Amino acid sequence: MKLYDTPTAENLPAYRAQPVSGNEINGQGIKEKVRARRVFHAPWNREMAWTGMNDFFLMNNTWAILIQALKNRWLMRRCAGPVAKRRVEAGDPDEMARRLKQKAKELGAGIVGITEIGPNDLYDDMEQKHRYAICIGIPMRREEMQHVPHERSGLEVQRVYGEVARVSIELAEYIRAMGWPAYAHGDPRSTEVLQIPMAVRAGLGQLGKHGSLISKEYGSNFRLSAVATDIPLSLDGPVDIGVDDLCLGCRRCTIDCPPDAILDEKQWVRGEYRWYVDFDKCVPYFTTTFGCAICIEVCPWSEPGRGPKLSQMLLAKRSKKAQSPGAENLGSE
Amino acid sequence: MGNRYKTFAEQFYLEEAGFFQRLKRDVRLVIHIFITVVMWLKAGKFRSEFRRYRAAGKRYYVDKFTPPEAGK
Repeated sequence: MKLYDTPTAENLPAYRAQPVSGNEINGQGIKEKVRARRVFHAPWNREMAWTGMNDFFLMNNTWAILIQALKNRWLMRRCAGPVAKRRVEAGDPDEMARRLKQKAKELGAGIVGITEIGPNDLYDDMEQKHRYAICIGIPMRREEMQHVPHERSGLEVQRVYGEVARVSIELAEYIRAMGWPAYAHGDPRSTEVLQIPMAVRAGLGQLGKHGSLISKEYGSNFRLSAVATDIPLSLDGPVDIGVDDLCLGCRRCTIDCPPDAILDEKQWVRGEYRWYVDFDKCVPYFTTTFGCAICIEVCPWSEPGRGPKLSQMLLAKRSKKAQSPGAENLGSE
Repeated sequence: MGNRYKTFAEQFYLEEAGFFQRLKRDVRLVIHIFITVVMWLKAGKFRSEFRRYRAAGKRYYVDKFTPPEAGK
């Protein structure tokens, strides 16, 4: 992984009248379970403290990125639609889950998992309408992402958001054709759910120190979407691929983050002790660098083909440590 | 600013729509996209202003887009 002419974090855009901290809105330091509030990405919301920075981000992107983002938004109009009047019996939830995962892969999904949607998976102004989420991940092209932070990587991110939205839309249409409601959550600007917590529970990967999901297959080099539905499905569970074993000792992303936004310690965030990125430091840099993404590209897990071996090695070391008397348990908090 | 919050879903998702409802939705979305493109074109002056500020080592303020008071 090579970084090209990484811009410094000097003189980043800012507010004259500083808004309420994005970390406060995100619930940093809160030990009780509370629902998430929107802070940055949300269309047509003129009432958020950080909307100015979001608008600046949109306006500061290049024409090519804007066009791709607008293509994605056009695609998203198909997120919902009519449900077939004749309902196909769902039958065995295991069998149906297998069938839908198979369909998602045929449509182009890289990784797929299923979980139940909880109230905390939605932003505080949204109502829960469906019971299950089919979480989908599609990898980004490494040869484009190696140029982070650059227009090329920004464009690739938008392209994959379009792809992952298309897969979720077509999977939702497939489910609706069977007579069951289904709703595709794709483009981040139009989404209403928190994709990462659902994807963690669906077994797609684990949260990394850089605040993004890490999967065994693609590291952090992928994007997420989800289909919300009521068709009875068997659930997947969270996986342990050894992410914490590495993140606790690794400082690759914290060193390479120009605005120094990645925290070395886990934090309490809305009732969960987990990795967290300082919003107020990250976002001004993010807006001037086509969506940055340095942290996810320098992550050792994102090296193509490395994940499975890395996971195997980390888990083996942990188990060896656990067996040796008096040794620290590496993976525990 | 000050508009009632509306999600993408509230504006453009249709569960059980007829042909004309879908057409109306598509026209509204095309208008929204057109407005965004016009905004981006007009923001050329902000982009060059930002580049100028950065080259001069000065801080660029974004309150002009949506002031933070809008969120209070």
